[in-house]
Amino acid sequence: MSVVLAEQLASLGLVRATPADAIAVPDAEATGFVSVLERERIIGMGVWAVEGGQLHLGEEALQHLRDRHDVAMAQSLRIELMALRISEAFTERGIRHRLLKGAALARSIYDDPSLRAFRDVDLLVPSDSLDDAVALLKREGASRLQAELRPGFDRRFAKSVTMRLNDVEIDVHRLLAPGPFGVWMRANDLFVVKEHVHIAGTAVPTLDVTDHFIHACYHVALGQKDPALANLVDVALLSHDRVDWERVEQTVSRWRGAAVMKRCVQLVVARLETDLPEQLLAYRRAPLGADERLAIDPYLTEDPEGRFAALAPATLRALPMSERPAFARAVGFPEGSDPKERVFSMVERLRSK
Amino acid sequence: MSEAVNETVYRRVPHVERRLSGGRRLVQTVGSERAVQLAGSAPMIWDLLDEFPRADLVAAQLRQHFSDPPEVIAQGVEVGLASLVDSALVVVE
Repeated sequence: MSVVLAEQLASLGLVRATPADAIAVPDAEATGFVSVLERERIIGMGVWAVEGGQLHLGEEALQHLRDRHDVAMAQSLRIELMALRISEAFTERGIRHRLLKGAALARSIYDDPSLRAFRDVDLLVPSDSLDDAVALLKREGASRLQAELRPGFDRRFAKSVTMRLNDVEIDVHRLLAPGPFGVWMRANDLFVVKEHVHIAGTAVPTLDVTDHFIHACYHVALGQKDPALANLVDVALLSHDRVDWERVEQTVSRWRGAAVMKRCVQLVVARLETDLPEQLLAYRRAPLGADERLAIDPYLTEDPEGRFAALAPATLRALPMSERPAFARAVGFPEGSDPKERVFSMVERLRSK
Repeated sequence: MSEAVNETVYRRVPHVERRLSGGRRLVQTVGSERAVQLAGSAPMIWDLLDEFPRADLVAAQLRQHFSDPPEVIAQGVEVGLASLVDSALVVVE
C-alpha cells in the first residue's frame, strides 16, 4: 500500500495538485511510507506535499520525513559542490564534459532543487578523454571502486568508471548504458549541443533537454529492473519540457534504441498517473519484438554480479568482430588475477549466463 | 538629530543551498566541509542580502512585512547578520 501511495504522491507532483487532492496516510502505514519515499528518492515531494496541504502524516512520521529530507539535502549539497569542483578541474585541463542526471536535473526541470535528491556525481566525457579524466581525479585524491580489467578496457568498452572522493561517489561515464545498447549508442552525439546549470554562480556544462530526456529514458529502461519513481518523474517532467521530438526519433533510430523507449514508456505509464506527449506514447503502440526482448533481458538481472555476467555475452555479440577478442580477453582473463582464478572466474561467468 | 547609518556592506559567499521544511534553509559555501542550517528570520535576511547588502536596507525591507517597532527589527537584523558572518556565509566588505 505504501508503494501505491508513493506513486500517487509522485503523480500529484506532476499535475500541480491542490489540497483537495490530498493523500492521507494511515498511521499504521506512515513509517513504511516514509521509507518508500526515501527508497524511491521522492522524499522532497513528500515534504513539499505536506507543506502544501496535499499530504497528511502523523506527527512522528512527519518528523521522520523532515529528518530524512534534511539528510538527503545535506548530501545533495556535498555532491553538488563536488560536481562543481570536478567540472572546474576538467575545464582547466581541457576535458570536455557534461553533468548528467540528478545534479543537473534538480536545477533545470524541477520547480525547486529540494524536490530532487541525488546520490552521486555523474559526468560524461568523450571516450578518448576517459583515461585523462580518471587520472586527474586520482591526482585530486579519488580512488577507483573497481580496478580496470585490462589497460585500455575502460576507454574502449566500459560504460563508466566509478570513483570515490571525500565520501562522494563519482561516475565518469563514456556511455549512457552498459551492454549492447551502450555499444549501439553514439556518445559523441551528446557533445553537439550544450547547455549549462549554474552551481554557486559557476556555469557547469550539461546536456540540453532533448539529450537529458533520451538519457532519462535509457536510465529508466536499462538502469535496473525496477527503476526508482524519481527516475520516472524525470522522464515525465522532461517529456513536457522543450524536447525536440524529431531529434529524439533520429537519435533513437541511429542508436537502435526503439526497445529502450518502448520499455521506458511502459514503466512510466504503469506507475505514474500523468498525461504524456503523443510522441512518447507512440513508442507504446508497437509491443517489444522477440529480438528486442532478447536485447533488454540481460538488463533485468537484479544483483550486480549476475547483471555483469548477463551483459558480458550480450555485449560481445553486439561488438564489431574486430573488438570481440580484446573484450573477451579482458572479461575472461582480467589482468593481475591469478591464472587459476582467471579460469575459475571465466567458468563462473559462463555458468551464470 | 538623525541617526547614523551603518553603511557596512555584506556579501554572500559563493554557495549552494536548499529549502527545508518549516521555512528553514541549508547553505554550504564553496570549499567548506559542512552545511549551515538557517532558521527563524535568518533565511529571510539571507535572501534579502542578495539584493540589499546593508543592514539598514534589509531592515527597511523587513519593516514592510512586520509590524514590530523599527528598533526591534534593526536589532534583529544586526544579530542575524552577525550570525551569518560568524558562520562564514557572509563577508563584510
